[in-house]
Amino acid sequence: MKFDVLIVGAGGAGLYAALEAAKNAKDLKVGVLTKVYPTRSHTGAAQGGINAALANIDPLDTPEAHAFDTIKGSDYLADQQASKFLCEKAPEVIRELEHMGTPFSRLNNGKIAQRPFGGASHDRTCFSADKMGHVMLHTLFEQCLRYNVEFINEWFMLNLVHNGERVQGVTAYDIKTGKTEFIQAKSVILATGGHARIYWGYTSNALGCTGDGTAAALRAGIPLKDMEFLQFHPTGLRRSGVLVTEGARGEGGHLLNNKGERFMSKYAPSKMELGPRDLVSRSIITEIREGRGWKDAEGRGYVHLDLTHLGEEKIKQKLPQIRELAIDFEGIDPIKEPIPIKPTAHYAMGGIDTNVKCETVIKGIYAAGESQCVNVHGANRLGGNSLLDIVVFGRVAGEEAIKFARENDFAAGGEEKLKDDNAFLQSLFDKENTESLADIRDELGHIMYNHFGVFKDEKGMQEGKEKFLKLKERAKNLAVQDKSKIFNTDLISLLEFQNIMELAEVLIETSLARKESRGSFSRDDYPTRDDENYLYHSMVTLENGELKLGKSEVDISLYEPAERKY
Amino acid sequence: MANILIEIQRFNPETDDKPFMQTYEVSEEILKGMTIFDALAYIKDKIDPTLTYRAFCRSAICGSCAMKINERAKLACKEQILFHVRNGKVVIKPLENAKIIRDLAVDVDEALEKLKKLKPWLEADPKKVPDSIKSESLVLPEEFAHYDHMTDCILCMACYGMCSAEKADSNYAGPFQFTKALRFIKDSRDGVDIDERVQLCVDNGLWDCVQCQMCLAACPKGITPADDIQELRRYAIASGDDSMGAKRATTWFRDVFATGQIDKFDLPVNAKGDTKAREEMEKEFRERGIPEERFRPQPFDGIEGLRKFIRKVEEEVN
Repeated sequence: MKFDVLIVGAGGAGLYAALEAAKNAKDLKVGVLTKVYPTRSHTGAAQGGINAALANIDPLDTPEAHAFDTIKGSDYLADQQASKFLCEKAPEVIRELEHMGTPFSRLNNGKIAQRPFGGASHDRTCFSADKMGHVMLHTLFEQCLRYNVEFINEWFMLNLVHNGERVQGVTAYDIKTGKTEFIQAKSVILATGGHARIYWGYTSNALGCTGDGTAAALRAGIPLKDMEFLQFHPTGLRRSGVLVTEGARGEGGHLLNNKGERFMSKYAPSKMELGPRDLVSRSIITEIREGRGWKDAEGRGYVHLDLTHLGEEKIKQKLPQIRELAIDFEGIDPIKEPIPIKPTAHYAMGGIDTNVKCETVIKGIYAAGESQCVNVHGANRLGGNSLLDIVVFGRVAGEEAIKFARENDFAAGGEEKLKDDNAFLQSLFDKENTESLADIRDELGHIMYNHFGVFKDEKGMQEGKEKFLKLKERAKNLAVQDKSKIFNTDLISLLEFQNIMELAEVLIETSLARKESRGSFSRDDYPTRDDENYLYHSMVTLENGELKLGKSEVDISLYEPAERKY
Repeated sequence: MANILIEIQRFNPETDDKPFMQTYEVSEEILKGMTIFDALAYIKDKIDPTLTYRAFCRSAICGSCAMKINERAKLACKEQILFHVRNGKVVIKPLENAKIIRDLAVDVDEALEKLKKLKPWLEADPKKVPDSIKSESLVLPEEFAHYDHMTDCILCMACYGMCSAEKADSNYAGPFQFTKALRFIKDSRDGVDIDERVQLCVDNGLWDCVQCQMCLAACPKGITPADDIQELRRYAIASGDDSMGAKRATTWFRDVFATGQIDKFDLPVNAKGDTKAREEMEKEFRERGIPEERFRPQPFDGIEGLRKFIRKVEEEVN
């Protein structure tokens, strides 16, 4: 296969880039490679909405106000001009989505409806009931069908191939047949999503959110940025990590420990269960750590979100979806029993380092979406900004990759990389297996959650790092047990696991290096923000098998960093 | 606690001539609180790494894990396994009406190709949708309500896997495909001629649906393809569709309104233009000595009541 523009990943960012190319670059051959099918992508799971200062409800809202909220929410780690660009583009991108057929919820005057959201100074979040990501993803897919976008479904990208300066293509594995191929491309867009799966067993993310593109970029010598910043949500279901929205607490749900106490009275006596997300998460973890929670069969701690006192009528009337979720996914009816919950890893702010044009350090390689880090979200992303990010930068990446492909020919060579990758895959089949992938993967989740999760301090992280390094040794013994060439999900799971292992190590190193608390990143031993020493983006590059840490400047040209208070 | 038997259909085209059932035994204690997906993952992790299925979001939104659970198409991630235990076992098979790739993973491409034939996308109507991204089209909440629930479809293929018409004729477009077609007919922003959209549906089997209603039970999102197909058929008749299916439907309606019964004597002519069948029937009737006024049904006593009822239903539908 050979493409002028190859897009890897078919979520919101990938599909937006693909549409940009299909509509405006009919002279180019464009392909979208995905390890699933486009509409399976995790974009579809986003519920709440997408931010844009349309001012349909609040006439005083402006893109500047949106930018300021985003920068303040980022705890001043966002690149301010980039955040401003994101927010300025928001209204037109929303209208473009609307013109394509996205079914937004509407106001009585027919305009797109908007609602309030955390951290936003105006009612700015456009929505479609509680399925914004789903309808957006499907609308983009529909338009891709309309414009005959070429999809390469159920192919797994193995590696990026470049000559040190320019991209040559990618190597990829066809899941349905087991064959591998070097795919030549003039430009490549990585739109491969986030990597919260490094907290295996403790995440709201889909099984495949394993940062495949981010890890491939790292292996290809491209820097990753701000990887220590990963957002947690306080109430995920015990078993699956699927989110139970704040609505449950808003309607009067109680958080209880194993003594039956409403423990939030100790941590946030006035706001109780409705304290800020990070505080609620930290309180839950404290209870579990101090033995006042429960443990499931896999050793994962949890507490109770109790709705039983609200009564059958109120639960059925006000919280029907939460009830359905608990019954379907957890087997528990909240009318009769409390819901077991735990904080859950939700969104990665960090990712592949790019500038605002989505360019990486290698010419012809672009990144967009959750896999990318400009960084517009800084240390903490606001709700409703992730769907916005993927479409705005999906479009930019599409435009830039088209331009590059028009101005440049294919870079010669790169086929030889396939030999290495084939040999590597073969070695996974040939090795004798002495470890269980499921056990090691669970162990990775435990280490990351307990040592690099909601709570962090030097001692805990050092212990965690030691455990991780031992696990890394054990992981070398993992092999593929299913020997079939056809739809070998055992192999894919192992490749995905190797990607999250690589990214976990990056997160470990960057977390240890940042001795402050900022946004989603909080350390007990350094509980405050330290702009004097740590107002920088952390950069990590893989050089000769070693992780090299560096820094890059944060753009604070618009607003002076101030204390983040709400 | 007892052990539960999980019977799973296996098939790897590399090694197997045909699908076979394999039984895994897992204790009820372990399965408590698990979804079918959790149980499959447990088997893959702990018992048999070759077991093959698709799964992704685990929260019933990505549509990857539709399969047959005790012969009914469901999303594996949305069903508690113990709820589906019958006589100590649960039977899990791949969706029907699609080629098996391996074990529980089936081909998706064919169903998507059929979807594509129905133009499942919006082409903006310039009268409604502004040509610049400086403003948005106005859609009243009541306009949106006409198709809001149809946009819940996650393309999981559960309805497709249970569809009787699909089983009878693999050229039939399929249930979710028709719902998608109706969704765009209903969208006030769409500029494609409704007759064109309806004709695409007619060309792809709109009249082949047998209204078995299996899709209604299968849909994990509560979407109603069988009803949507009925509505598309009304559009087809209104747009002057004269295909066999439309003729049959209009003839039935006319007959029932006239007499309370279907006129089987004239039906082949009215619906198919088939005069031979009627000739044979007529010959048979005459041989048996049936008088000619009884060849066709006559209105029954109280037909006015029925007509009143039909008119009332018509009013409500319109």
